[in-house]
Amino acid sequence: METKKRVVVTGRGVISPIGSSVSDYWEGLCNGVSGVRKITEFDSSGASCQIAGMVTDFDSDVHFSHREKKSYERFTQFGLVAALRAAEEANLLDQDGDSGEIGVMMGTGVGGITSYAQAYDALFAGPEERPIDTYTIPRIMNSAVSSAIAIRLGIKGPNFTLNTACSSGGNAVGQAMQWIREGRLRAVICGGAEAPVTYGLLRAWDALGVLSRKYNDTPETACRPFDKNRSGFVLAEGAAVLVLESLESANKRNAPVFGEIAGFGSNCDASSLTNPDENGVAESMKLALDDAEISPDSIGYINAHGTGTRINDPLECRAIHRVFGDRSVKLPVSSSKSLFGHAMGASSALEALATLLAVQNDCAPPTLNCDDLDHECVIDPVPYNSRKVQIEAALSNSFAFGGSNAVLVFRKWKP
Amino acid sequence: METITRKKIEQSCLQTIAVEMGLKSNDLNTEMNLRDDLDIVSLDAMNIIMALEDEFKIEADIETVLEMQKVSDIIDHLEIRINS
Repeated sequence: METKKRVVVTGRGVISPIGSSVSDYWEGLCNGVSGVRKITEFDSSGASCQIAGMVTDFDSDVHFSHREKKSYERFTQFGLVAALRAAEEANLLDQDGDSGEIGVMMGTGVGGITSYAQAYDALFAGPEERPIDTYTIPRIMNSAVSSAIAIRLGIKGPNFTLNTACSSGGNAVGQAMQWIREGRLRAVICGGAEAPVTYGLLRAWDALGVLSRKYNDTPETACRPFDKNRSGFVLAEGAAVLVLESLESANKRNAPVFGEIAGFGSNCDASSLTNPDENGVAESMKLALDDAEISPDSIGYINAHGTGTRINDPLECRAIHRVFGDRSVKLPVSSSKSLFGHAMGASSALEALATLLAVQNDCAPPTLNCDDLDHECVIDPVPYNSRKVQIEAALSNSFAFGGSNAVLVFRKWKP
Repeated sequence: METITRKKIEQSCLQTIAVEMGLKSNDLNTEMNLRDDLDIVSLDAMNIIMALEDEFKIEADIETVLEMQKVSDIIDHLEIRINS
């Protein structure tokens, strides 16, 4: 049987509600710092949920010219800055982007939603129509994020932005790995970016009954994955980007290696647009393990999808039991959404980075607010405090509306 | 109807360009070249013209506007439209 080409992570970048450098992000994850806060960017008083995971340390003036600020929506700005940091860490900036051997694969869920809102406001929010900004279309389009990365870095290889709702970033990272394994490209800048916190989207998610409504006065306690009293998630924004590269390419140019991406499980429940299916979810984890050619016993940590909704958490735990059997009770399983909320298409990229860092540091970051473990969630949620634990390999789970699942396997780097 | 003076059109035009391009209106003058001096591309020009159309309640000729070279060309065109 042909050996699979090894793919390693040589660069990392992040913009998040708990920190916008890799070290700050990891410190925030381990220290259980909450990034959920009262929404102050617009009047949210008409919404039942008035809190979100907001990025507060991002100054677009520092990163962009006036024209770039006009052209790039907030999600594109997040994705581009995270990509530049990842490329810089990978020493990829002086590489030959013209060669077509480097690609970009990003994921987003709702793209330029703020510009949609502004356009509709111009038409309907006043007594008379106002002009719609001519930059609306380039700001709205989902692919602006991957294009902006290519434009800034001069990368002329394949360029995609994919959308599989809340698993977009995970699927983007997985697909990027496949490109490299197939030998089509030697490096791919990949991840997810999202800035979904608008009043309209807040109300739309609330209408589904999946947002946490009871904790507006104590935002940091709102997202409670696996807890008996969980009541939903909160929206969040951010971006995470990885540089994936073939081992040969990384070795050839002496690039830093932060871990290996060893497996990708991608499938569809094919059952419902809104409800996850236990069979599909369990199967996606099995597919990822099979792809990585490792046994469930090799997994030392799972970064859960862990939304904190009534439906997801017990279903995900049952699926974990089906794959990991009796080990599930002792296997550290935590939800990063408890710290910074649900960043839609970027969440799985943010969590992929969290998983990579957990493997790198032999440390399982905690789940916040799991005070009273739901008896239907028979796992070890690593409550509140991070835990040093040997992690040779770990899973990053993402299960989206529409049933599009993406599970990634990260393995400790061993030359 | 109140007459709109060329001075008023000029002030509005410079102010609108300044806002759109992130510049100070005091640094602008009517002899500046739209592309070479102000880096105005077609999308910027469209935004500028739509804002001025909205302010003066007129309709500009977009094709003509996109071929203009100087700030004063926009002012000339607006003045004709406003007073016609």
